[in-house]
Amino acid sequence: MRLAFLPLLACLLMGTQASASDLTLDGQSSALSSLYGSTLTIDVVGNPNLPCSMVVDLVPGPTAVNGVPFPIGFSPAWSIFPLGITSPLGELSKPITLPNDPSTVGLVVYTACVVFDPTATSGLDVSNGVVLSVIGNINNDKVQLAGNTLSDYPHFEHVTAFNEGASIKIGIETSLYPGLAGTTARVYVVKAKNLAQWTADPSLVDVSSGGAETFTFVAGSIQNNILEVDTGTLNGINGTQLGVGYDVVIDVNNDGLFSPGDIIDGNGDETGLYVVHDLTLPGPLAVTEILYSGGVNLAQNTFYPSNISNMGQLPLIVISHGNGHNYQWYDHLGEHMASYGYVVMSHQNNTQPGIETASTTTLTNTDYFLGNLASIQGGALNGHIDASRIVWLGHSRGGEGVARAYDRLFDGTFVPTNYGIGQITLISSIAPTGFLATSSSNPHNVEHYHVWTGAADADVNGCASSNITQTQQIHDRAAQGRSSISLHGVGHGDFHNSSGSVASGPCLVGKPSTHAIMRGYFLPLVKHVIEGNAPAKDYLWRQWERFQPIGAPTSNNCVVVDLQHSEGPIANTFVIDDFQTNSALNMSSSGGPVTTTVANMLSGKPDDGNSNFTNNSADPFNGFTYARANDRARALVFEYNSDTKMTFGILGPDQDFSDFAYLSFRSCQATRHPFTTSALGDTTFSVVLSDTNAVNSRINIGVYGGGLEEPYQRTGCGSGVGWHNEYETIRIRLTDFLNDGSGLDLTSVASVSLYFGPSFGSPEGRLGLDDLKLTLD
Amino acid sequence: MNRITTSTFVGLFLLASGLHTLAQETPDEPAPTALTINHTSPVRLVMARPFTLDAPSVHHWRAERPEFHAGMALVLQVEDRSLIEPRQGFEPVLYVGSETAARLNVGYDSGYLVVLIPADLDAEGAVDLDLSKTPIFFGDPELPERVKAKDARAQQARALEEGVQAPSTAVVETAMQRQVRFADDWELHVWAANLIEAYSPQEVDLVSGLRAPRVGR
Repeated sequence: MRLAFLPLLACLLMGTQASASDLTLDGQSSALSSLYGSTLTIDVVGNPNLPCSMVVDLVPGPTAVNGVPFPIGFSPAWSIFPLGITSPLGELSKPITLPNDPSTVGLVVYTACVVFDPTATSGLDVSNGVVLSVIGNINNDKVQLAGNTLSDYPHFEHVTAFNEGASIKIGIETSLYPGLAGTTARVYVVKAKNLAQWTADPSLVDVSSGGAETFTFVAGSIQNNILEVDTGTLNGINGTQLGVGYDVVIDVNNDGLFSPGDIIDGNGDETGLYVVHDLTLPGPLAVTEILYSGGVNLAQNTFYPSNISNMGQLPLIVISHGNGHNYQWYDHLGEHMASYGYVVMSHQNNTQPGIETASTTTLTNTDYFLGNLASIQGGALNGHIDASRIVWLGHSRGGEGVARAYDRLFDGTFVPTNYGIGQITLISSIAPTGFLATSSSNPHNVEHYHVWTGAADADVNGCASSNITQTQQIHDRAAQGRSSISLHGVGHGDFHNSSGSVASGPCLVGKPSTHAIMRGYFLPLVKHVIEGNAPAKDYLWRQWERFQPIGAPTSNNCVVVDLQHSEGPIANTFVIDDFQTNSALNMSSSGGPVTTTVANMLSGKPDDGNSNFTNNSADPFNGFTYARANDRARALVFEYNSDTKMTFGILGPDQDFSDFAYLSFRSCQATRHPFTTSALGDTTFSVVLSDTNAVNSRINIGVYGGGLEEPYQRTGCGSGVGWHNEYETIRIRLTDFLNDGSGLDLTSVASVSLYFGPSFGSPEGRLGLDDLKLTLD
Repeated sequence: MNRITTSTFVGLFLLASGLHTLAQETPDEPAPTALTINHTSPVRLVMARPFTLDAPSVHHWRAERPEFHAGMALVLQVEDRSLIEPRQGFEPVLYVGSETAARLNVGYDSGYLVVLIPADLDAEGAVDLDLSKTPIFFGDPELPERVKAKDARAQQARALEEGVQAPSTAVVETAMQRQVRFADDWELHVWAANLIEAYSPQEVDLVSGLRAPRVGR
C-alpha cells in the first residue's frame, strides 16, 4: 500500500492548480498529522505566474539534484504531480483530500513543492519540506495519557488520581498510535467535559501551568514520549465531591479543537484525570452533632451537615462500637464524613452478651433511626436520608456484629421494618472478632465488604492461637467486592478516640496518625463504593509507598500500610486461578496448565495449621489467618532462592485479554520463614505475559512502589519475629506490557508467568499467592 | 387447605436434616475449656436495690433471653480487676447464683460493677432473691448470650464446690435498699447511670450516653 499511496495522492492532485518556495499544509510548515480521508489545504508562495508541482516520497531527504537540495529522498517510490500556476501575487492554494483508506494509516509522507522559475538556480525553486503523517481514527475509549514516570520498565504508569500539588505527566506509547511518531502536536489539559459538552463546544482551553505544551512524538521507548503537562498547580477542591476532573487532549492536527484524529484521555462522559485535595482534612460542610435515645440499647450519637434542610437525600453511615467501647468514641469519623455530606449515626451496641446481641443492636438501631426521622432532632433529618445507600461500620465485636447482622438479613431471621438487605451497600469491620461460624458471620453478596487490621492489636491480636482474634476470615468470605487495610504498629484502641491504644509490638503508631489514615482512607472507600467516585479507587489499591492522601502521616516512620482491593461485581473479572475451584497444582481454575520450578508449592486453606507463628516446615500455611475450618478460601504457598518461575497457561477461548484493563493478584510474604527474614523489606518479583507468537513482556511488581511488605516485626505467638501474613493486591495495567514497542498481542495471550529470584526481583522468598485474575477496571 | 404429602414431608425433613448437618459442619468458636480464672476471687456486695418494671424487659445475657418484670440492681466491688478487663474475646461471666448478671458498665478503672439480675416477685410483690443465700462469682469465660440456664446452674454448683460463699446476712442488710418501681427498662438504665457515676466516675461517656434524652419524651 505504501507504494500505491503516492500515485493515488498524485492522482488526487492532478488537475489542481498551485506553486512553490514556501509550502504549508494546513498551515504547518514542517510537519503535521492528518486523518486518512481528511481534506488538507496546500498553500504555496513563490514568484507569480509560474508552474508549480509537488514532489512526494516515503523517504526523507535531503537529496541534491543537479546541485539543488530537495527535502525528499527520491526513493523508487517518489512521485511528482503538477499543482497549477501561481497567481499574479505569487500564491497558490489548493485543497486536497487524502485517500479514504484505513490501510494508509501510519504512512509518513515527505513533501515539497517545486516552482519552475527561470530566475532560480537550475530553474527550480524548491520549497521547504513538510512531513505528513497519516493517522487513523483513534478509539479514544481506552486511551490513557495521564500518569507518572516509573524508574524502570514499563517506565510510565497511567493513573486516575493525582494529589493536589503533584506533577502531572502524560506518557504515550507511540507504537500503539500509527502515524503519531514524528508528529508535533499541542497537548492540552482542559476542564473535564462530558460528551454533550464536547459536542457543543470542542474548543480546547488549557488550564494547566504554562498553557498547552507543544511536543513532537517520536518512535521508540515511551520514555521519549513523556511530557510534564502541569507542575502541580491544578485545583483539587470540589466541595463535598472527591476530585476535580480534567481531560487531556493531544491536538494532533493542531486546530485548537477536539476533532477526529485527536487523542483524548477522558473520552465521552469519562474523565481523564482527577486532582484530589487533602482527604484527611474536613470537608466544606459545618456539622451538627446530636445525642439522643430511643430506649434501651437505642442511644445514638448522630452527625449531619448543619444545612441539611437545604440538601437532598444523604447516604447513611451506621457505626457499631466494640466491647467495652462507647458509641461516643467515633467523632473522628462522624465529624469527617458528615462534613462531606453523609449522615453518620453511631449507636449503643450491646456487645457484652455476645455477637448475636451486638448484631441485633446494629439491626434495631438502623431500623429505629430510619423509622423515627420525623421525631429525631425535631425532624431535622426527615426526608434527607437516602436509605438505599447504607454503610455499616463496626469495631471488634461490633465489627463481627455488622457481618452477622447482614447474615441475618440474608437468612431472613431478622426482618427490619424500614430497610432491607439490598440497601446495605458497604460493610466495614474494624478488627473484627471471629466468634461465629462461616455460615453465621458472612457478608455473602454485599456489594462491598471491607476490613481494617491493626498489626499491633493487643486484643484482637491476630495470633494463630484463636480464630476469635483473627481479623481477615470474614473478608475472605465476601463474595463480591472486598478490600482491606492493614496498619503496622496500630493497636485495637487506636481506631476509636477514647484513651488507650491496646497495642503490642515495635514502632507503635498512636492515635493521631491512625486517625489521619482512617479519615483519608474511609472517605474514599465510602465515596467509591457508595457514589462510584472514580479517583477514590486509586487510594484503595495503589501502593501506599507511592501514593497516599496528602495529609497521611508519611513523616511517621512507623506507618506501614498494606492494601487489598478487589472490585465487584465478580462477573466483571476473569479468574485465571483462585486455587479454589481446581485444587490440582498442575491446572488452574480456568483449566489451563500450570507449570513451575518453585519449591515446596502447596495449595490449601490459608489457615495457620497450629496455634503459633513459629516457622515450621510441617505447617506450610504458617502465618495465614484468612480462613478457618469450613471456609472455602484457598491459596498457594511456595518458596525459591534462585531464578525460577511459575507459568499459568491460558486456554484458547480465554486468550483475548484486550477487553480487560488490569492483571490482578494478591500475594504476601510468609512470616518467620528464613527466606522472609533473610532480608527485612519488601519482596518483589516479575510478571511476564507471553502471546501465542512467543512475544514476551516483563514487569517487576516493585516498579509501582513497594512490593510485598515484610510482616510486622512483632514477637510472641511462638518463637521468632514477624506477625501474620498480609496480602497486598498487585494490579498491573495490561497495556503497560505493550510499552517500548514490546509487540505483545493482548488479543492472544498464551500464558501469564511469575518470575522469581535474583534476576527478577528479590533473591529469595516464601510467598502466598491468590486470586490471579483479569479485571475490567 | 393444602395437604402435605408423605413424600413432600420426607423431602422437607431430609432438606432440614441436610441444613442441620451443614450448620453442624461450621460450629461457632467454643469457649476455652481450661480453667483460666479464679472463681473464688472476692466479689463484694456493696449495694442492692430491688426493682420492678411496669413493662417487661429482656435478659439478653442468657441464651433463653427470658423476659423479666423485676430484679435487683447491684453494685459489686471486684478485687481482681483482670477479671473485668474489657476485651473482645471471651470474658469471665459474672453470675449471681444461677443467673447471669447483666453488666451495665465496664468497671475496669474503678473496680466497681453495676449489674442487673432478673428475679421473680413473691406473693407480696417483693423481689424474691435472697442474696445471703446466693453466691456472686465469676464463672468460666464465655459469651453470656450462649449460656443456658443449665450451664448457669452448673457454674454455680462448681463455684460452691470450690468454696465460693454467698454474702453474709450482715453484708446484705447493709447493702440492701428499698424496692423501687420503674415504668420500663429505659428508666431503670437512666437511674442506674447514677450508680455508675457514683461508683465508677471514670466512665463519663457511658453515663452521658445512658442519660441521652429520650426521643419523644
